[in-house]
Amino acid sequence: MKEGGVLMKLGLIRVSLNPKPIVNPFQQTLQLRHGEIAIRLGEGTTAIDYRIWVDANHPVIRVEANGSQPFKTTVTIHDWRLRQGDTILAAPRAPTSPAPRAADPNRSAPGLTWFHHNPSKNDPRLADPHLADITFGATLEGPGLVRDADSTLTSGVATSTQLISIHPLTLTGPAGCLN
Amino acid sequence: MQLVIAKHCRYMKSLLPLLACLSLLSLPTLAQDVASGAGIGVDQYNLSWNVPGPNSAASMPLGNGDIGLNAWVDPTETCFSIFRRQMPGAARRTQRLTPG
Repeated sequence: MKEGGVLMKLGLIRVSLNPKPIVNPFQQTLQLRHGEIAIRLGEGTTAIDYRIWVDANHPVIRVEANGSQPFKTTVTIHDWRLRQGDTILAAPRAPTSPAPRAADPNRSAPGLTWFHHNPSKNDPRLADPHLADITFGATLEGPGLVRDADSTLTSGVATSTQLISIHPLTLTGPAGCLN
Repeated sequence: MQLVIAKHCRYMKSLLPLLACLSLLSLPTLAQDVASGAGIGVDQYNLSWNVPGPNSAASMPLGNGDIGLNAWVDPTETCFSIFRRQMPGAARRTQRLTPG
């Protein structure tokens, strides 16, 4: 069987901080009551706390990093299907305004969007017609995060807290519906 | 082998009345927990690790019934793969979970 209803991963996201946190001591807890993963790296003034949760009422994943010292954040999407059916949307044009969006850590910039689009019916690559024209992907964004490369967002200024939001989306329709 | 399994089944059946009584006895405690907002002791089942998972095989699952993720730390970067329900696959060659 060449095609199937396999649950495909949307992508792999890496969040790195600068300066790099100390891994020892390390604590990662799945907190069932709150439905979140809490991660603590290091201790004292160099400790970094992560909270990861999926919103119960909205289709969004939230990642929050907190530290007592300011840090810069880099978020990278690893899409192993890139150019094999997946597309990362190009960064929007640089603003003509002299004030860069990265200067405001409380404001969300356009972020980074990637998606996979299944071929339409009668396409020889499509073995199963009910899978035609399904599109799935996600948008990655956060306050103060700006596009640094094709698949990377970085924070322009160091902050002691950073929120990252990932909005997965699926829809069915021809490729034109993406515009 | 089948004989051993059959014996175990009979043994389990004999325990059913006892298990039912124990469940009834625990109901008042359960009601007290719910009334007090104690979350029926769910905290005791929290999963906690003190060593970072080196890869996705040692990841921790999370989700809201529609969107899910698997998170791990590698070794200073926080990583997670994400997925969403009702997302049928395309060609098999695009269903790889790892590069290569």
